[in-house]
Amino acid sequence: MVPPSGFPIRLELKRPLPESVDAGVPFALAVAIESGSGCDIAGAPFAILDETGATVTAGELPPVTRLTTDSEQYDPRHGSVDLRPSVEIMVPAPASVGSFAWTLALPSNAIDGIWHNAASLGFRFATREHLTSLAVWDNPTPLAVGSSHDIKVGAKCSAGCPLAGETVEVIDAEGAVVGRAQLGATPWPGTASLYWTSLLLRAPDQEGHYRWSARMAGPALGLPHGTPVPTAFSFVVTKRAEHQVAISVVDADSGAPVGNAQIRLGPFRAATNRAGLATIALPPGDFNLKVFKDNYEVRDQALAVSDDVNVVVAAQAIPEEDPYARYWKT
Amino acid sequence: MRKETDTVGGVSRRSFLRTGALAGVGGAAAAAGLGAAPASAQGSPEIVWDVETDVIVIGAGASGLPASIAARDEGAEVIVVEHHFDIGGIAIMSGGNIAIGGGNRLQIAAGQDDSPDQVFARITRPVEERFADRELTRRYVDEQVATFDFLEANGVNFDRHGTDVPREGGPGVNSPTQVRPHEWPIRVAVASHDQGRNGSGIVRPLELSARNKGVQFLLSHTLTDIYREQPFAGSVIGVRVEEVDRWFQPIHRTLNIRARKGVILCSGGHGHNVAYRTMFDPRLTEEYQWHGQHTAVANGIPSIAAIKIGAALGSTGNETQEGTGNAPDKGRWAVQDNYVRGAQTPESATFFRHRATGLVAAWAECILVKENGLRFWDETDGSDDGYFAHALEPTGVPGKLLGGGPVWAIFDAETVARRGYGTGYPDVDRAGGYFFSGETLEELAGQLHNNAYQLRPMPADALRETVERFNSFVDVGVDADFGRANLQFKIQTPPFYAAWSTPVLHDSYTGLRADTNCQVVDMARRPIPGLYVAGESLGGIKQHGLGRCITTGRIAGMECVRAS
Ligand SMILES: Cc1cc2nc3c(=O)[nH]c(=O)nc-3n(C[C@H](O)[C@H](O)[C@H](O)COP(=O)(O)OP(=O)(O)OC[C@H]3O[C@@H](n4cnc5c(N)ncnc54)[C@H](O)[C@@H]3O)c2cc1C
Repeated sequence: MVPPSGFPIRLELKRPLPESVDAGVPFALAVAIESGSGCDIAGAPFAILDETGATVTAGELPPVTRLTTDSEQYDPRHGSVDLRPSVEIMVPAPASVGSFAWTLALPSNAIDGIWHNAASLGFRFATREHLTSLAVWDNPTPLAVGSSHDIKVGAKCSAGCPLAGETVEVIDAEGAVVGRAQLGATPWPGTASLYWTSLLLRAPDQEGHYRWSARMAGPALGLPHGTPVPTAFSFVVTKRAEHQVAISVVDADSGAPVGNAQIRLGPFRAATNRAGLATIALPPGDFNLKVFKDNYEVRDQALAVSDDVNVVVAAQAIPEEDPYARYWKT
Repeated sequence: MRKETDTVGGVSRRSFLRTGALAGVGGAAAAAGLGAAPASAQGSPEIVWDVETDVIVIGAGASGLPASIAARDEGAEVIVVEHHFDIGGIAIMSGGNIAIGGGNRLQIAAGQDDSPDQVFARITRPVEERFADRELTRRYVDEQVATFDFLEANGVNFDRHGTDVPREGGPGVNSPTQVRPHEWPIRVAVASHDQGRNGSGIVRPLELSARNKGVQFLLSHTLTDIYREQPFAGSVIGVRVEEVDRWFQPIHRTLNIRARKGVILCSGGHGHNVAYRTMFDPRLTEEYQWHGQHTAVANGIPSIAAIKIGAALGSTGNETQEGTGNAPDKGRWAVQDNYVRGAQTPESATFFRHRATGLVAAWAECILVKENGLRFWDETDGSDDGYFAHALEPTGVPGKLLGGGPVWAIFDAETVARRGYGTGYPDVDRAGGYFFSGETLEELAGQLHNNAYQLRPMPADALRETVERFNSFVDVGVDADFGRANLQFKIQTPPFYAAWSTPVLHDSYTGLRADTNCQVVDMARRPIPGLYVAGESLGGIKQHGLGRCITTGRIAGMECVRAS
């Protein structure tokens, strides 16, 4: 056998692989690559080999990234930066859960007309089950006894698998299924793969503070999906509203309306409009009226509701504590 | 180039110098992170002076610029050595509100009754300023009117803004009368969309005046060592400086600069040096960032260099005293240096280091969790020392018994919409690990370990349970855990966000001990010939900011030349 006679190529992992990767999903292998010749190695053939030496995938090396201290991406804030030229190769992880020891292999090859020796880099990784998790939103509170309302339930697979058509259900505190629906075809706006649905629920007939939960239903998502994580959500059920309470918030000193003041009456919430006004439908009863507004102080006040009522709340402006505040707030 | 070859008391001064220089390096230098030792310590037989001048000023910020001008006005040749590639220090990004009174021209014009005695009384209150060095403070207040005149004489223009009424100090800032100059019209050095940059109206005119008067600037160089004739005796005779790149990193070219009259340390605070600051408060571990750290350095290296040749620290009690300015700041969100007034926009010449502008925090529309996914305090409570005490409490990371780890503001898509937050460049620093999003809370928790200070993954179930519990508090308007009253918004609508909201440190109140001439003293309270200090490098005056720094800078510059 003839000993290698070309330029050497050195391969090293540029950053450690994550502890585990989602099964069946390609992951990036960042490889520091140095060729003794200084040739541009982009386009050279490579192969990824499994434990048996079988080829998992093969291709041509992508362009080499050469970071310098002047690059936009250069960021030494958290320690020294590895400036070695590197490539990122996407490796398809097996669809099964397990540990793997694979090899990146570059056969000997002529690059730019110069002969380079073969090079290889072993790397180990583990795959994990995909995690499915849920979110519940547009979950109104408080609700009137026995009223019906929609909530939204979404589910997300950690690997971004399309979950359209999968079933989600809501169970009450006793474990009874109180709602069920199938996830729609398009992810929730602003997300890549949170598949969601509206789900109609009926509020209990008893007043109270409830905690229900949402979970995946139907046949288990096949491997490599693990057991989905359910999520809890809560709401308050009250008597039916009978009265309109109009709350007007004004500046105690000037009498000017205070807009976007946050109002709370027990479980009921509202915000004032530009005219400093908020209207809330309330059941009869005794409430504690709270108002929140930055740089204002408002004393809580008791409010007995037995009829429609107008309330005026005086909000006391408090001087800013920070003597610079007026310079940087304007 | 010049070499020292004369003899002192029969011994070649070279060996004196070498011994002296050696005293300034070694183990302590390595411990403080200084890296390479000076040439002399590596076996070179003598100090080779590359440059020579009368006065060397270290730092071109709020104290260094006035020091350089004052020394020049006294007739000295001056070189200012500055670590950053531009002058200005953190003063260039400051609001420029100078607490300087005593009856200055603007006060008289406004009919304000003020005097040095009144200023003295305001900043030596028996409780708030109990650790102040009253002798030094007295000199400081007596020089304020002259310093105001000095600023005007050197081009600082106050006319448009006038002066505030004298007031008692607020909780964060002990501010007697304040004056504020015009912002410098060219904004490239420091730019921000939501706050005044009037500090530029101090440092730019002073730079211009200094240059016109013949002060020389050596930018992108950092002081590493101070040379004294003998380890703990004799005069300070020069400094060793090292060239740095635009990321403040040494590029291994050094210079020895000889100072015929003296060295003035005007290098700002030490708060960005974790080893140094934890001498005063051991809780202030790596995760806490320092205001202005990406604009100018505040690593205390010059103070350490002075300590190595015998300098003492002064009024250390000021540093840990709660309540009047040196406490951490609750901060902005989603940016590493998250000082609330320190936002930078991309036009800024240092934005490549800042990396993001950050978000104005919405405390009533988030929860704050620590690295373990648990809440720890009423998020809407801003000024209470209890907030910081709890934020700085350890969370049980194995082996970490000091510091509370990162604090994350958790909020949802509704908060982003209500507040109009940007969730990408340049508003938030995603690549650096200071802002994350997730389509569920599990996904969000899974991201957070990509932050350098999140030492272990955040447990997703803990974050989920925290949010579910908080949302149930919103249902009823009662926070059973921390008594927060303002509970208007649930965290429920995807995507979910986590923004860096870890307390950020500001102000150094402890620095080198000095006499009333700002001359550094040693442990026996003997003045060190040729060594002066001003600004946040100086200990003793318990007052925030620019007034103290500018005035002491001017005193140090004057006195350094007069004494020689
Ligand atoms: C955003 C912000 C807003 C502020 N607003 C106000 C305000 O409105 N009013 C007020 O009174 N105060 C304000 N301050 C505080 C004020 O700016 C500082 O207290 C003041 O600038 C400190 O002055 P200094 O000279 O000690 O430090 P700096 O102004 O920071 O100058 C120190 C200089 O020394 C350099 N340096 C450090 N180490 C070395 C070394 N080894 N070699 C060479 N050079 C070195 C640094 O790079 C820096 O340029 C604000 C601060 C910030 C960050």
